[in-house]
Amino acid sequence: MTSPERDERPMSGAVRLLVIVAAALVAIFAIGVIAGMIGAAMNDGGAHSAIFYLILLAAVALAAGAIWLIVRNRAVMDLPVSPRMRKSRMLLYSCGVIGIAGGMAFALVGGGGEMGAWALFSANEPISPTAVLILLSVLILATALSIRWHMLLDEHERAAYDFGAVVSIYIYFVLSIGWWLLARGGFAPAPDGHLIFWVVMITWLIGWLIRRYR
Amino acid sequence: MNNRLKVLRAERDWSQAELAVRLDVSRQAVNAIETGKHDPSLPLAFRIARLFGMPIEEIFDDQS
Repeated sequence: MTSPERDERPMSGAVRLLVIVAAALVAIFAIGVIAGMIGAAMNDGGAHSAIFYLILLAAVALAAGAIWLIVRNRAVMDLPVSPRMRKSRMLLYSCGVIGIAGGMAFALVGGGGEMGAWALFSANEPISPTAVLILLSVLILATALSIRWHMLLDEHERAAYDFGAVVSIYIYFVLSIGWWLLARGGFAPAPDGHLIFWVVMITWLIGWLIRRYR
Repeated sequence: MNNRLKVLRAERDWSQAELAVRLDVSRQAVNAIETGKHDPSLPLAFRIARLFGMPIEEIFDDQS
């Protein structure tokens, strides 16, 4: 018999979703490290130190642990039967797969130079032209899928995204102008557009999470 | 806005997920409507009314 009360705890789903997101980030990082180390080994050739293999082993263990966490909490990712929600989830997962594939390709071509994948999070470090083309392809493809995904969202999730977008626009407005004024008055260094970008994106994510799973 | 969605769903022995599939929305959307955290749009309110075979005003009440 179906219990109408059985699935009325949205926060438990939110916690599991956060665990999955965190585990996915760790998995992407670990896979990037593995890909980068394999790429470096292929370029260098020859034997490597014990520390090299220890770090590689640790990265494999980290990736395996993160994937295990995702699998353990996968119930929250089960595909709903509703056709619209199923399409929406499939597009979301496709974006994730494309992102991971792009990250691995970036690491394999050694796009970040000595900084490795961390070069992606730095505003000024040079990136190889091949890596730039890979990342641009991922950006265009993922954006096209994201637009299609947004068109499939139900009104509740769309409202959550709208809420996050409005909050992040206000954060962008206050942070960019406030920082610019402080810099002009000599109270702060010049505004860092890269940092402002990440603050705005994280604010949008938090706004969406709060509105959707509160 | 108050509504009787949870009661109507329980009478039919549907889970939130089952109702969500019938309405073609997410389970979180059903939960948000039942708990009054999200007021459905007019098209969704009509879909809900048709599903339960009742007028909208018998399901939703804007006077608390």
